[in-house]
Amino acid sequence: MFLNTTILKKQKLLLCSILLLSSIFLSAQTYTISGYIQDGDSGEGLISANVFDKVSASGTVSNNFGFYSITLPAGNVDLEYSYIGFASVSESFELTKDLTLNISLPTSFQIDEVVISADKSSEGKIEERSSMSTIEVPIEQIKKIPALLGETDIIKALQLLPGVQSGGEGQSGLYVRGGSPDQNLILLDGVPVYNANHLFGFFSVFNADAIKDVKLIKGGFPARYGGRLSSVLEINMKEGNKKEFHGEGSIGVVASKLTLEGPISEKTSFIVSGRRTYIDILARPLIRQAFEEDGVDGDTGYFFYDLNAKVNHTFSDKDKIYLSAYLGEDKFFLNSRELSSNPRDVFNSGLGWGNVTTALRWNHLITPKLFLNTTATYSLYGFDVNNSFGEEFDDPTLDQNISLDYTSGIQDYALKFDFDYLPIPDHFVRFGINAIRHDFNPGKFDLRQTNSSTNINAEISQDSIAAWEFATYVEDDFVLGENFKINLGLHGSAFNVKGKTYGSLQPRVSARYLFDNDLAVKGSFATMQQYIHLLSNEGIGLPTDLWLPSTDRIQPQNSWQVALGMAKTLGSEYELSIEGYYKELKGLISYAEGSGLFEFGDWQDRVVRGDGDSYGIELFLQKKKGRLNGWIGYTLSKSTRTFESLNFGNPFPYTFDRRHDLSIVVNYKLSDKIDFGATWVYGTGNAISLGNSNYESIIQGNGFTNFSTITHFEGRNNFRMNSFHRLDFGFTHTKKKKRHTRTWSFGAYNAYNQQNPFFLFISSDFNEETQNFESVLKQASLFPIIPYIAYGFKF
Amino acid sequence: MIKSKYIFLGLIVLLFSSCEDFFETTIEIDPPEFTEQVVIQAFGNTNANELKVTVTRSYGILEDNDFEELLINDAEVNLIYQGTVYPLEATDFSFNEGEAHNYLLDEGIIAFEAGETYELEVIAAGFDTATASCTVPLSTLPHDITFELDGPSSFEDDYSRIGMVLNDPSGIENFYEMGMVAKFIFDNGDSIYSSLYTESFDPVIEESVGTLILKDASFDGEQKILELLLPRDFFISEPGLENRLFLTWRNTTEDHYRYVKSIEQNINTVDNPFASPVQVFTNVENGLGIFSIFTEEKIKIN
Repeated sequence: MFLNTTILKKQKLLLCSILLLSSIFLSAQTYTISGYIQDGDSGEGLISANVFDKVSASGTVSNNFGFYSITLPAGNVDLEYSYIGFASVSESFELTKDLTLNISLPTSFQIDEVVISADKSSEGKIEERSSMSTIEVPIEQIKKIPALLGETDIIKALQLLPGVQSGGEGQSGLYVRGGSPDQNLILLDGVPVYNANHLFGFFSVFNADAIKDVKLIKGGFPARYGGRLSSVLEINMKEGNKKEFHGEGSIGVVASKLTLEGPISEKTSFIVSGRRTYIDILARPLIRQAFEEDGVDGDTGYFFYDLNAKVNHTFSDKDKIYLSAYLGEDKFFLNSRELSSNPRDVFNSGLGWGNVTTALRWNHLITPKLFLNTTATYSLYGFDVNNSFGEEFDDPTLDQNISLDYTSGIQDYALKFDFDYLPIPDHFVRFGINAIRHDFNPGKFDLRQTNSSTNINAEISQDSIAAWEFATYVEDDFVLGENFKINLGLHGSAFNVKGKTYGSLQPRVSARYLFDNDLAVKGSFATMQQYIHLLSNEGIGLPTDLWLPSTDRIQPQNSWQVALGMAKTLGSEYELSIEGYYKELKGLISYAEGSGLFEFGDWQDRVVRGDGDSYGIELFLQKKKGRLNGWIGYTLSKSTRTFESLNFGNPFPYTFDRRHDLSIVVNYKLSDKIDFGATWVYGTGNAISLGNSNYESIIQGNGFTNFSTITHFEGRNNFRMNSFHRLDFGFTHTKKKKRHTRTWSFGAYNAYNQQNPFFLFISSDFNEETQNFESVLKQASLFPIIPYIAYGFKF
Repeated sequence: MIKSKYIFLGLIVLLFSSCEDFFETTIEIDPPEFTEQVVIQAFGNTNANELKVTVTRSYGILEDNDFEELLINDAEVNLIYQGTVYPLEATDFSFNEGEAHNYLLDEGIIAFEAGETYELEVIAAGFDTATASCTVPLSTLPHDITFELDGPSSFEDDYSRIGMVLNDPSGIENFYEMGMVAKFIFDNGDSIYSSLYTESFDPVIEESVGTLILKDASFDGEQKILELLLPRDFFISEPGLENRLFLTWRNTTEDHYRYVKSIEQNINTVDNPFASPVQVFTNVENGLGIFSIFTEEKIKIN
């Protein structure tokens, strides 16, 4: 009986599904209008531009390449193409056949007044968007935010959003909803970037002048994304102006940059952008002089550079290709050689790291309703620490030298096929498949010793590990009735390493219900699986963390996250959203107690596995229009970790657990030429392990008694550093010249010189009163007030 | 336009006014709060049937104390076995070998039995009563112990080898501690046992505070061949040393193993910014430290 009922239910379900699919795919007498929506000035594709047919009251949006497709009943159509910052374009005609219609949207004459727009989504009002926990920040907006030394920074701007935080001074990376930096999938033109920061996270590797679009997803992940637990940061480079040659650049205190873009032919355009710091070059004479005064021929310095390049070619309305590349490197060096003794001490030290990414993308329109993007990518990240010291003699045959080189990194090759299928209005189906080949180098020591009698070259390396990662997905973004919008999807993935295969199926759903009073309630659920790990030392901000694969001993990380929120537009200028979330993380790794970087032996012996959870409430209030605009973002959250082998198995606060995180961002247009921007941030201090007390250990050993002073930690991450807060501000003066537009920027980072915590240390200071040396606990800060001035130009 | 000039001028003044304190980036902050705790380090030996206990107090991370100031010499220290209380006698602490304790339960008062549980309580003025318990481990000794002068080499270091066979009892977790000592005889006939630096290439053998430790998690109930290495130079510079070698072998509790292992890691990493911090294990309620009773045998190497 029970069996029959079950079978009956299944049959009904199948019938309903068939009817539903039939209604989707078997509409009678319909035709498809498809094409690209582009910026009228530059010819760049516009992402998420809106297409709306007023006759049928249905619409769609453009994809990441500006492509759109809408299938409508035959007869009259009245299409409106719109995008924030651009004037709308209407097209009315009788639809009698499939049609290709490329649209160029002219820049709105009012664009200068729309200073802030935190979302470029086609659905202008926040409550109408189905996605949740997703924020798009226009590059022009990011450029108006005051930045350290005037260097516009995408990562720093994102850290001003609720649910996203920095690690604090001297810490690199994004920490999203209690996740760690490795749990962010950072995609530059679809290629994973493994280290998005220059030294200590002061600057990100993304040169804002070369970037078109930035989108951050904190939860409710669409099924097309996978491989990381906490966020997706999708950054798209500009394609290059297809109509005119243009340039843009700036000269700042620490770095200068230059971007050039333009058409190569009618169907081909390019963009190339470079940036380099030059403190090392400017300071070199002074540094060399200082060394010489000490009798040493020496040099020390630090620099980084970025190079972005992209070229695209349109073969036809059906075929386009894009080739993009990024190359960036950081280098710290210290070299010294005594000038006049015999023997002469020689010391050389260096720390370098960098990324290389390339992507070749081919857009092909299979049918007007079916769009295929094929991507082949290459990504490389590595770091290198080297030290050498020795002695040089007047007789070179006596020279001796010892050098130690440590390298680690990861290299990826990937191939992806992503399909966009738009069968009928109100359905946007995406599906695809991809494969990634990872090559991990978990760490290699190279020790060399040379002298008159010895020539040793010892290499101690962890085995390189090759792994394959596969993924497939399908998702549909669809509308049910007038008020209900859903994104439903399934992501499947597998990982093969050393003969061991892991797999997972990850259901994803996010939904929005719109009430009549312009209030939307949104909810989402997502499960994620991550096959690669970053073994981090949380105490320092150096880029020396190790990227490691899951292995037969180290299982993948996984998570699930649920979020619930509301969104509402208040009046015509304000938007308010409130979201609560809960996230569970499993299979996290951490260094075992006492372990760390620069150790010999299998890295798998140095790690322990555990879990984590995070929950919180995020509030985001923004004023989008007017001379005064900006936002307030506040997050109340708690993040905990539980490792069987750490803290005696008891839960402990995550290092970057931040109870309160507040950001206030303000832009004010003082005049047509002068803009003022300011940000103020406040955050609870990081949780660190600091000894509560000491005691003397007396152990009856083997033929001796061992006496040692032990530092007792009441618990892991038992101590809160001071909370931090900081005000940054800046003015921008823009003036149009005969042939170009120039900009002067002035401002200050940490305007009231707050001493924010970087690290703590115990110092032995002389006490004048007691005439004794006494131990004191001190907090070191990194940045005092730092003014900046920069000159920019655009032609 | 005039207004904007004043703004820029103001900014430049602000920029330069900040330079005076530009490099002042450290401030003094309050250390973490802590409560003084009793620290007990109690080691019992089934061979000698004695219990040596040191009772001290913990102190703030910024305090600078003489060791004598940390000793708690007026506590009441009791060993409790099957309801019977055995008070420990207060003694003078000395840094001399074998005398580093301020409480003693002398040999002959009690005989520690394998598998039996003993409790320790320390009542000290100003502190909550601290307690700990320990179950005495079974004794398992290695056999077929051999010495080989020319052992393996690693990089430029040459070793001598001590080999032995251990039949690990099955079904229970066993923890072992070992070290090498040599008997040195002075001209006047006096002799002392002195510890020799010993290491092992076997990954299951871990370094502890001057000893080597291992647990049987990977060879429970099996026969395990162990190999200890001594620098070969010992035997070249001290001819005949191989005839005065002893293996100190202990069966310990898991608590003992965790304590000495974490002590070793804590000492090695506390000043290393690249290392994950180490919390030292304790089995003392209302206090810190360890209460451990172990078996100990000194086995001559032939």
